[in-house]
Amino acid sequence: MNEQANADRAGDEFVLEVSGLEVSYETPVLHDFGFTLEPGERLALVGQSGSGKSTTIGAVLGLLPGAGHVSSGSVKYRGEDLVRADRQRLQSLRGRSIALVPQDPMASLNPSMRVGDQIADALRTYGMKETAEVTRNVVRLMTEAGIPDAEARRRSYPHEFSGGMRQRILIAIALSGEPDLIIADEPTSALDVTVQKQILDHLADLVAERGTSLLFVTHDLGVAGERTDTILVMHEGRVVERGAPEQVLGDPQHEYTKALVKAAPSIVFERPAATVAEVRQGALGGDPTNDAGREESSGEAAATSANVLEVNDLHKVYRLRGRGREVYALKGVSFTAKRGKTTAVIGESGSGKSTIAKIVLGLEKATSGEVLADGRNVDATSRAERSILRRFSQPVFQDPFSSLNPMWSIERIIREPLDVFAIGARRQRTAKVREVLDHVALPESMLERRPADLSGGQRQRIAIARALISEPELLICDEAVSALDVLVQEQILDLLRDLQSGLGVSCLFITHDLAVVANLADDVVVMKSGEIVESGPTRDVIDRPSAVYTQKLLAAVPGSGLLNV
Amino acid sequence: MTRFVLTKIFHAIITFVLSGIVIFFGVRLLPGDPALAMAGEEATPERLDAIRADLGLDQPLLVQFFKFLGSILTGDLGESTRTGLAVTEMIATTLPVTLWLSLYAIVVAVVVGIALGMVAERFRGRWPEFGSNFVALLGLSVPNFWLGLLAILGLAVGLGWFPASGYVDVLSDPIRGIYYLTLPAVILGTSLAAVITRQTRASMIESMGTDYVRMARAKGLSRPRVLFRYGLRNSLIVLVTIVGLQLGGLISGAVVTERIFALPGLGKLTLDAVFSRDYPVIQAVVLVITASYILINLAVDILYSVINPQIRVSEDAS
Repeated sequence: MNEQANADRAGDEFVLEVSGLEVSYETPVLHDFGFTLEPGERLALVGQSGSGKSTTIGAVLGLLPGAGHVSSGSVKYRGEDLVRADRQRLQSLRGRSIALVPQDPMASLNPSMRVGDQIADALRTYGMKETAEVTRNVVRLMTEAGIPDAEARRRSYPHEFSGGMRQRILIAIALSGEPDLIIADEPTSALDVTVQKQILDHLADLVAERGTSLLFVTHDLGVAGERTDTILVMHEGRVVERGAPEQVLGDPQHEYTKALVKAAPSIVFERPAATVAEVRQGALGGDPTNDAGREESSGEAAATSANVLEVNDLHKVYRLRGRGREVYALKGVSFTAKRGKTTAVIGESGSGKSTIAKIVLGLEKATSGEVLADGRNVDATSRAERSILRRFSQPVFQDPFSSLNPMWSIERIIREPLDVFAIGARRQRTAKVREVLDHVALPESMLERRPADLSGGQRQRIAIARALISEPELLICDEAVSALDVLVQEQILDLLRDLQSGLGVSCLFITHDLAVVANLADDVVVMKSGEIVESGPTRDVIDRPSAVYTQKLLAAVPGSGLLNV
Repeated sequence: MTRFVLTKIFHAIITFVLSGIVIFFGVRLLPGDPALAMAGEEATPERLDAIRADLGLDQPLLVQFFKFLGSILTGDLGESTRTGLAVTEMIATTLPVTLWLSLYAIVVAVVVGIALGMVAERFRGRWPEFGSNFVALLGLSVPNFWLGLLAILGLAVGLGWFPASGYVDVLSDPIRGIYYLTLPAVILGTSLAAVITRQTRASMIESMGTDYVRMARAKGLSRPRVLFRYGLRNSLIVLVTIVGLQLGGLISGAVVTERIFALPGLGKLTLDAVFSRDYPVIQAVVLVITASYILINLAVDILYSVINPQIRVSEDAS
């Protein structure tokens, strides 16, 4: 029925036909770019940051930022060239014919306007006049988008909703104009994996019911494979491959696609577990030079314990001022991390995983319970003790764009821990900086540059170099790869694996991404709402998850069925 | 929300009481003797003592202070040592002049400032932005009194468009009242307008670049709707804070402006009182100015929470 409706509406074969498109800012970012989208078709545009995905969306909607402009080619919506359409025409098409579900639900709603009004705003623009009718439709749309108690919730402000709920509101807005094309711009990349699944399922149902065409933009091959009929792989502003998901993922033709498919995080083990264990053991016991160096810095306690970190019955309560409200971030968490190994802490937002990182780093105090780093309580009172602990563990944070001082040269950034801990003379420090830079596989020419000149992956390497330079026993990676593109992510994970086998450093790896963990961590701790639901060796947890929550997490990993088949 | 407003009002009252104390002792720290100022240099010690007794200045400071507090609560602020008129009455006649002038100046500043700021954002990198920036810089850097003198010379004396001085009560004759106040209000509002221009431009650039503005455009909303409801509405949050902080300066600016345009306002009263060490009047005027400053800040706080729904929640929680 829907297909019929679409066929009636359209005189043309394609809802969207992009051909020979070139879009330039200062230099062209899209080259001879083209694709077609049929009525009811679901097309995925897959590529990494900088591949031109967002520019494509901007060109279709006529919303290119800044100096961006279409320098040649055409974007035809049902035969009408949007590049040549005037502002009025574009404005009347937006929302009514082509709707957008934006990337970041946290930032895409007007913070000073009730959500119901933001949907009503759209409805009124599309010609609905009567207040009662508008209100009725706001409630209907919110309900359809899966927001319970819409009648009351429409009066709430965006900040009173979770990320997933905000995305549902944005979906309601997108559907309000009954468009025949929806552009979903990475609609779930900012959301937790289980929420992502719910939202995508819901969006898929709504799109299928209405027979709407879908242009699904994503960096995630797994999501693309599961949710669309056709995948278009973009690289540096060009289409490198197009085909059905099974074909693109199962039998990629282009080199770039092959690399992407290979790098896509999956929960399938690439290496036999035995080999991994052997390598680890080698690093732990076999390398005398390493161990000697380590004992010097960490004292006698190091020799006695096989655990680099012991967390015992850790509680953390945040008290909100007034009204006596308390938030329990951690409710009795206990686990150990083995020396020379990687222990992953997995959980969704609000699970308390980052709180653990902060407490271990000594940035926050636990309400009760203890954390023993190398046998020493991290809640140490004496200055000397604290200084030892600071050197014991070093962090690598999530966002490589904000965790490096933009005013400093790379050399100064990396050298800083040596300056702070007063390690070595000036010349030795400089030599050491070069050494760690080599460890993270960056050229010496980087030293004089500043963070702004570097890519995300390079910055994260710098962050790792800075963490390593004071020779810490324990590296604490808080979502250290989740802001990175999949290929870069793979490189950084490789680097971490190499560093571990080379330097024997232990790693506490905090992440929301189960797939990343599979090939990196030796042990896994799964957290939910401040409690550990399951823990154990990575293989066991992933192959035979005992907790329902872990099973749910595993099921929500996109594309697990399609990739690595 | 109610709780939030009540807390703010409570804070305002405490601030007012504390500033009352500071004012009382501050005035008494001023060098100079009011009795001497009244009686003249040749007065006999007996005469001075009599005047002091009359004014209550011979009593211990603490007694004077509680009398002062009592007078605030009863609304009887005493009599001017200079003119002998009731202080409340003197303030009642001069305060409206200053209030009308300030209000008018604020309206001018907000309208002109937001308009220029939005023009600057809309036409970034083109001549309207440079024009707007130039005007704002001028408004910030040229002193009020100089600008006022130029305006009188050019627009009043030269072209004869506006009266050079004088005041007509706004309530009894609104049209002439506003006409007489226009030049002083524009002069007084200049620097505030300049601050608002710069601030509007900066916050508009920020809010127009946000995802929610892009989303609003993707919804197909009309350009004015996006500009005002999504862009300006969120810029106001920053703007109100900045403007609130600037309003205090407006009152002190009014003193100078009133002087130049010979307006019979609070500013003129203050200056006269200071020169003659007229304690009761100085105290009362400073008190009134302080009270209005506190009231303005209270209004800004409440307005801020109306504009920014996120404040309401977090403040309620605290």
